[in-house]
Amino acid sequence: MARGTGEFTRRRFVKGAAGALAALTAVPRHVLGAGETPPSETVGGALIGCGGRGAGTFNEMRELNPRQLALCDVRWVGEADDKTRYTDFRRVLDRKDIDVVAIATPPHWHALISIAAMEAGKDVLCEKPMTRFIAEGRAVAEAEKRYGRVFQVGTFGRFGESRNPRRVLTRKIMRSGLLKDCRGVHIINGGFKVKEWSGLVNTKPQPVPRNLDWDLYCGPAPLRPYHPHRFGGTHRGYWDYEGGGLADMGQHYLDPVTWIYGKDDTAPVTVEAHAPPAHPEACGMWGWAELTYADGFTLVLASGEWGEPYGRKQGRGVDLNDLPEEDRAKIAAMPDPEPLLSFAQAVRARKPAGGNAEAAHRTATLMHLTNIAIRVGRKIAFDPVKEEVIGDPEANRLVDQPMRAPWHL
Amino acid sequence: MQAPDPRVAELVGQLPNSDQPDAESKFTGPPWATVEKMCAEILAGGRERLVALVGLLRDPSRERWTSFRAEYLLHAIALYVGARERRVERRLFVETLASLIGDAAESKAVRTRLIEELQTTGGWGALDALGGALLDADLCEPAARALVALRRGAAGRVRAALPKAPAACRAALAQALGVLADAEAVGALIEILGDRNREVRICAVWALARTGDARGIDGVLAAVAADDGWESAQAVKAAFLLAEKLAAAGAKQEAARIYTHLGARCSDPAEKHIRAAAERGLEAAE
Repeated sequence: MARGTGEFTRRRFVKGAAGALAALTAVPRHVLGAGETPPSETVGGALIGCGGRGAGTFNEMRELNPRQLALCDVRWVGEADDKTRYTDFRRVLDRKDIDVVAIATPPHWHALISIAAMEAGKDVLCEKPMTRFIAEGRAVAEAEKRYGRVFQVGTFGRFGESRNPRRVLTRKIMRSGLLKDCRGVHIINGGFKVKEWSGLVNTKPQPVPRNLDWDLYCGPAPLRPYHPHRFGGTHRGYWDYEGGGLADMGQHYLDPVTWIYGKDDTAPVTVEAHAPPAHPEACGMWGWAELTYADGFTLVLASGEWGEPYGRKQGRGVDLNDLPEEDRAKIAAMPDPEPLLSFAQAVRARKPAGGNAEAAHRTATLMHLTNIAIRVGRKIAFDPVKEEVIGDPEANRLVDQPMRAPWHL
Repeated sequence: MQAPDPRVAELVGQLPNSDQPDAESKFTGPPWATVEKMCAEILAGGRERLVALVGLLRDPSRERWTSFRAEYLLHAIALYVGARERRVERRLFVETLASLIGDAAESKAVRTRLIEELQTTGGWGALDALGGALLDADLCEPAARALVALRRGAAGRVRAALPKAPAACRAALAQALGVLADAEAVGALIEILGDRNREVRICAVWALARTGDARGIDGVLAAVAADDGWESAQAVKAAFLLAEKLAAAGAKQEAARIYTHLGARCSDPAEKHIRAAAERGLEAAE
């Protein structure tokens, strides 16, 4: 498959993310302003979910220099002291000395813990993917707004892109409203780890390890019999907890795309996927997906791991040549977008972070919509305002999935 | 439930095996075009053939699980009949599965699978059977989730089951009524606000808030004063939800009462975000 002009490679993502992280560490103390107490003296931090990504996620808050007061993990039954080590996140959120919370649990917990943390007055840095299904993202965005808290998803690709003049220009064109019939096609080709993050289809239940609170791990997901593959990283391969490699890698690749193409407050109107019938529990293979926005902009996700390659459209960027002369002048007169605030900057300024809940939700929606199309095996139409699948009740059931009591949004 | 049918077994056998047939492993599904033919053939055989397919499902905890291909095909049929133009096939599928979930001779694991397929592609024909499963301590949770997914017609079944349901099912049922925002359940939900189980109380408070009914105000505000920190925090969340619903419905005085209560109740410096949210809500309501 030919790489289009609008492609976004993994290497570019890594470079962008590294640059963004470097920027996060570079704010000197004097920028805090007169009378401001240095955060190193004031910010109490907690990490909920101490598995593979835990330490890295907490470290993404390092510009605030938070004191790590609490660690929480469901694997610590019999080991937790409820002072610095916990098994139940609710006890952590009860603490008044904790200001910021890093969440690195599997994604089926991301929304609920993010919301609970913001209800408890904490600011949140949440590992990607932000959510497991679309309605969760809306609920997180509402909580962020209601309680005036800061939320940042744990991927930073948009920060690097927002400093790239070419990308800034694309965003200005897309946000200007002047482009009536967008012919842009952005193709993301490979890197979704589809097979790697597929689930097992023929597992036999095993005894729950004594140190694991399996009920709390499952939380809002169905209480299935325990199997180690459902836990500890390989959870990615099950619909109950995540959404395969697409959900796992998607937020990295798509976070810059939603910023560049100005799609932070909307969603595609149609999604079509090329995939075999889905397994009821295990995430499986897919070939490609085509997502189209109301303005005509097309986003293509191609796994290169199953079926016929995508061949409908070629990648095509958006530039000033797509506009008539008088409109180009209007673009030139437009101010650049406001710089994106890092998590720490947002916490200090009490303003939305660059990867705030609404933006992160709209990015996650791309993965979720694609997974819905894969799971029902049909092209779906989506209403970006109501956030509902149109004319397909079965597909719409996956937009707002029932949770196991007592967990609810 | 078992009904041997060599053709069904043959179709299942035509599906690809897992990557490592002798070990727990992943799976690469075939194209839809291949599976659609199998779905069509099973459905053309009517209820008998569907029952035969279900008969190939096994409880994974009881034996080495070799039936994933039958399970996969059953799920593919659930997806296949979800297409708008396949109403007749869908009715057959739903009614057949619904008739099997009450089969006490079958394992709970297999019945749970059937309930989950009805969650994928259920409808009117599944409501009574799912309502019946709400009274089974092992099946009520998936049944409640399935009914919530179906939405239309579900609230009546959940409401009817609530007074009779085992204690282990009450939280799931209360939560289901909340998701369904069942205004007719207000009285029943108020009754279980004093349940001995904290999770039931939390779900009932949230469900009351979801109804947007002013009769729930006293119960929700009382729950805000709960000694348990998590229960109180969940009640605060429910109170905001109820206030927002009341304000949106034009019941501004009732909404203002909730916001005022929250603002006054949350006096701790650590709760200033709640006071601020209540003030914003009050301002909007007035």
